[in-house]
Amino acid sequence: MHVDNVSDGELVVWARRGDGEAFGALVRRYLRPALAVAWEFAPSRDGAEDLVQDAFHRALRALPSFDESRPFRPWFFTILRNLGRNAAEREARWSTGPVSEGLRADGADPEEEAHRADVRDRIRRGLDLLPPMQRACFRLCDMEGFDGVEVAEMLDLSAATVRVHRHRARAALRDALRDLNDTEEEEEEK
Amino acid sequence: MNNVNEGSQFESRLPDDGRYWDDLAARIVDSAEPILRQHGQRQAWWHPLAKWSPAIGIGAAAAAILILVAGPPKVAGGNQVSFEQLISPQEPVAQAVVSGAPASDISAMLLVESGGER
Repeated sequence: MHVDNVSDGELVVWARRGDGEAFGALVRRYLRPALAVAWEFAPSRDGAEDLVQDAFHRALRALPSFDESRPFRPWFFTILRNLGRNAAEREARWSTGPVSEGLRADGADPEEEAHRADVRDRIRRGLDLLPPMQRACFRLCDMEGFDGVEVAEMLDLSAATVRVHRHRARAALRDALRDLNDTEEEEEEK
Repeated sequence: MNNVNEGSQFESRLPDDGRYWDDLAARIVDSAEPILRQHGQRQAWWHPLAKWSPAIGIGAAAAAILILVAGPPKVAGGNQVSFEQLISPQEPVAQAVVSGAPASDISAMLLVESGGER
């Protein structure tokens, strides 16, 4: 069975008949964006993986009552987000996550690398201060490279709202870096 | 100005290693085995019936039409059962009320009271 060119609806029909290959194809199709979203709710990658696994299992259990003419993706991400919110409430906090994991450290020059480390640290602190939705939109679009429309569907927002969140997040991060800029300019003047 | 721009300081925190994704997908699918088996079993008993569902549907519809066309059942002695008897509950009082002599109509009662004159 070549599942790559098969629509979500067909995979859903096969998976609800107990076809593991069809279910596996659905999992592989949405695994990457699912982990990215789950990581917004979970404090670690391990926690995010558990959330994703739970979401896929719940979706599979609910497949018999799912109308396959409806799109699978928004339905699945609704399950994932609900699980994520519940998990985050249990943790009593939103994950700020180890943002530094997503920041490059490839500078060869020690001075340049020190400068980058400072920038990364400021961005990390800036990200930690952002409201959860701004942080999620910024991370998913600017760090994970997902399309704005795709992120809108993943987070159940309009594309315009995602743009606004990204814009505000960038503005906040720009402010976080402004002090660093000013210090550098003063040093150059001396 | 320092950049908060695309790609200069950021990279995905999601792993790049293809094997990581394969392993995670396999873990999710393997642990879903009991659910998949349950779906497969549920499918097993109704699937053969589902294959014949159009024929079963047509047959049921034809049977319903035949029952309606054939009309009410007839008593063995040849006397047709009245419609009132058919719809009445199967107990003596109800039978008596439904199939008893019809009550006098109101005009007849008025005529009796006035001595039969208008």
